[in-house]
Amino acid sequence: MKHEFKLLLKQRSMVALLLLSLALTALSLLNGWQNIQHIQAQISHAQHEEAQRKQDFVHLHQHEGSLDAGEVGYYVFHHAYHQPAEWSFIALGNRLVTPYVQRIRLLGLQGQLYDGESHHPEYVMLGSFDYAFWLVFFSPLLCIALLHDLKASEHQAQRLLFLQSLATSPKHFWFKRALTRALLITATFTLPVLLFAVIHTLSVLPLLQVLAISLLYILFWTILCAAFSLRARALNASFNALALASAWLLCCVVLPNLAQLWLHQQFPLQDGSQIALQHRQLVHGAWDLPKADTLEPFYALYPQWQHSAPVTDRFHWKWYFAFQHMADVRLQAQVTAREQSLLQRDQATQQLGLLLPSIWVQRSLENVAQSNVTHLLAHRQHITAFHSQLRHAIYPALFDEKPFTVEAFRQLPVFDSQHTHE
Amino acid sequence: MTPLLTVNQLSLQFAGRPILNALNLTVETGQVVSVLGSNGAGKSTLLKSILGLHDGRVTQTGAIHIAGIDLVQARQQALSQLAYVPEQPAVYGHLSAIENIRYFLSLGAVSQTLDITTCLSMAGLPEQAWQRPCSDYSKGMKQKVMLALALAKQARLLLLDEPNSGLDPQATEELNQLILQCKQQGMGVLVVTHDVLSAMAFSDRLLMLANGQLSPVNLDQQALTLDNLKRLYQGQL
Repeated sequence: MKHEFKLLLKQRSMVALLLLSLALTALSLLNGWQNIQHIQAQISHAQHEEAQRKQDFVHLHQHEGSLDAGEVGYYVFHHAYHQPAEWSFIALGNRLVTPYVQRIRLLGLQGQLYDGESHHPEYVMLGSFDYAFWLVFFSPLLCIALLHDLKASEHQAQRLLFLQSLATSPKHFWFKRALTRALLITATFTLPVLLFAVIHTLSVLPLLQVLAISLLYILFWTILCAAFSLRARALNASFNALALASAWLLCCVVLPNLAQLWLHQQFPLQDGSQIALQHRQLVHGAWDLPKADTLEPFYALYPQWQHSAPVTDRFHWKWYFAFQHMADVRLQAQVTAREQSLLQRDQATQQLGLLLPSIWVQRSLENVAQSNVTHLLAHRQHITAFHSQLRHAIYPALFDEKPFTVEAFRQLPVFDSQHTHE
Repeated sequence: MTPLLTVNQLSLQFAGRPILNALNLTVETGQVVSVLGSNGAGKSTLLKSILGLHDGRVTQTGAIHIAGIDLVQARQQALSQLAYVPEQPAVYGHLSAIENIRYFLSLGAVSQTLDITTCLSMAGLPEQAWQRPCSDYSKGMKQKVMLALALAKQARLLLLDEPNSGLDPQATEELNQLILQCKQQGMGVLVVTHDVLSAMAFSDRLLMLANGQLSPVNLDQQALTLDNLKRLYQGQL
């Protein structure tokens, strides 16, 4: 092995290629890390700003130690933070196309949740330059570059017979040669990860998972390239390169995209912005309905407030929040169906991952990074639960028409941003 | 004394077409045997058979022994006794002569090797070239590296494929001297060549491969005319 390494590393072009790969792996990690740092800085800033804003609200709106519950529900925004996990930098996944700080108030939740559900087309088209992207798309190309001409280059240099006459066992000789190259490729992808984990003292288990995923993916491409370039008639390097590049295009670009098209057809998904729009239409429509049309179904859900004083004025906060709430209730079936479709797509993608290594790697790394669909949905569930807590904290004052004390305001729930990662 | 190479009744077919036909050949210790033949006569095929490197597309019968070791039964042991020098010297251009030899020696199960610099010296490669990348070498220099490898691995049988092609007269002369030097050291040498003149200079036996069989060539230097050469290659001499 020592001599094979020497043979390879004495070639300047090879060293340049490996160094470039090493540098770009480090860059992909840095880029992911900087994105996560940016998200964390924004979250930290938003947390500080939220606390300050709530304090200001108390100063401006309190009247003899109490606040108007309706104003608290309408004017006070609460932040729901999508806090990145420790290893999120490895695969940014959905993080760049979903808000990491979401402003939530007591109004209808679905209108707020799906209001920003229009993905940035640039991010969706290109993906982000993180480790997962780099590994999935470029490690196969490096394998092809280093392994496509194992036999062909020796044949073209008229060295093949000579080498085979020297080797103790031709099979062992080619195995060593392919292994040397595979080890160097693996090193350019895993060493920066290892170094990064040491520098930032990251957890060991996710590190081992990332290393294992990288290793298995590079092993798959090594076996594919070596098997192809060592077959009996693999004596034309250009043909080998072309055939393997086609396999890459098929495995990493064409088939995953076809699979995505199939998934979209198989499990249609209502656009999130459509839900937000419908919510808005329901809310706008409610202004023109008799108040009883809103309040009766609401009191059916919350019988504890059915004896609340009737709304006789043109406007009352409890009527306003009741129709916001009922819009959520009416859209619940659509929201559940959408989440079901997302989960079905996710499960189907998982099964496709058993056939397509590129999908498997992307999903596995997103699992480690906690930036996959499951975590996104868990985060939404967490926001829903938080919104529910807000309702339970403010509705009693609203429907019993009691003053909302400053103390009760200070006791309002705060979004637990660590919850999603527990 | 056991011959260094014994080829016994070797027949070989490729895609149903006979290439070698019950061919017999021996190379003794300290003997240089040259095989002549027209293009496509099967010279390189014969070398490939001696190296045991035919794939499944070739049907081969007969026996080959290298220094008494059966090539089929103990391929590695048999091959460790020989050194093969291809027509285009197979050195890696980005390595020096010493690095090349070190790498090639690492591939085989060679138990004892001679000092590489001594072998390079014996092969006549100038010392100032030893550490330079072989991409700067002439063909003659590269061949000296290959011969130094043969010396380093202490091969008993040397197989040379068209050693003189592309060499200038001086390099040809140097190579001929080296072949004779190998012979003097007790190596057996089998040369496959088109260069009749050189072959006559260093060979103990000259054989012509035609119709899948070897036949002795009896030609002295005075009879070496263009007409005679044509007749020789047409099997009429």
